[in-house]
Amino acid sequence: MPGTRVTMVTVSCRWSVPMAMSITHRGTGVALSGVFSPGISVFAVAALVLPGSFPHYLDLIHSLSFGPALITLSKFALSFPVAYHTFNGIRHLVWDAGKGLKIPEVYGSGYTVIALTLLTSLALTAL
Amino acid sequence: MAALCVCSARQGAAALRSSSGLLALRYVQTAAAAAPAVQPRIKKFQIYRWDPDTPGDKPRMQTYEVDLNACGPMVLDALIKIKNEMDSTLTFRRSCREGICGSCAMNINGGNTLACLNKIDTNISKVSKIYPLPHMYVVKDLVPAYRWMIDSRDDYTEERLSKLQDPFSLYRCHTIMNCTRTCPKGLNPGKAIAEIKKMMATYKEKKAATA
Repeated sequence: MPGTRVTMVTVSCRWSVPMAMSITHRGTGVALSGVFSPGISVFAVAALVLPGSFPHYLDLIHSLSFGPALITLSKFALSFPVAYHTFNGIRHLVWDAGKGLKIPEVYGSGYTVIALTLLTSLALTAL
Repeated sequence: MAALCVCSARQGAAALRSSSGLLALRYVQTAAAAAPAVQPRIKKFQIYRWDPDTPGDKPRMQTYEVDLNACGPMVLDALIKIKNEMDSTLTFRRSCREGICGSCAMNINGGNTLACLNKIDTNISKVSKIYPLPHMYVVKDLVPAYRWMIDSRDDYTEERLSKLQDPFSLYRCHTIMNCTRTCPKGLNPGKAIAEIKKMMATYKEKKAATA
């Protein structure tokens, strides 16, 4: 109605596992893309272009004398986004096919993605 | 209690001789025994308030206390009780009170639901927080302002789908699934939108084939 005064309210929607997983998918996606740090593309081009071999670069990293804690942390920080975004990406593709969109299925597939992510990233970190 | 029985025995002496009279006497005994024991269960409701007609009024939260023993089970029952007995200025929409009309849609404890279908959380130590629907203009207290929406019922499927062929309408859905999770009627809009996206992928091919 013309002349009616209105206002706006902000209420935080209560957090849920599916909501948190959705924003994490976006976060890991941005992190991997290379917007804020060297991403998958830079790594791929570097692997193609840089002259040295893999053992050469492995020795280079060893010579930098990072502590074991930092090495492990870095390995986890790299493997976690790759694993999470890959498994949740498959979950998204299943949704695009129209399957698994009932709420119990969304939660079930969500917990499965979390479990697979942790197993995979911990396994890759332990290599 | 024994005195009570004797009194009613004297007054209803003729009736007591029948079996129904004895039943009535027993009922009076048990009712009197049950009466003093019940503690009031006081639940706090923190409700968003704003009145545009009061000059200088700012949006604020107001807390009301309701005895759940004297209130129906749904949040709408509590709102009506508050309006009737405590604060008649509390403003909200309601109509069917059975989850069909959608008038009492509001944000209760962080989730969007219908107040008439949302059971009051009987945990007395928690406060129930009631807000109007987020991302909507608020006319007063819990009343949202609905904007006029185009009714697409008179369009045909292809025209409707072609209207969605832009990066904004349909493809703003990122399958977050909050919609299905919050629906108080158990509908699945997330799945419906996924099916529309699938239709968008195939209808264009049909159109190209017929062209």
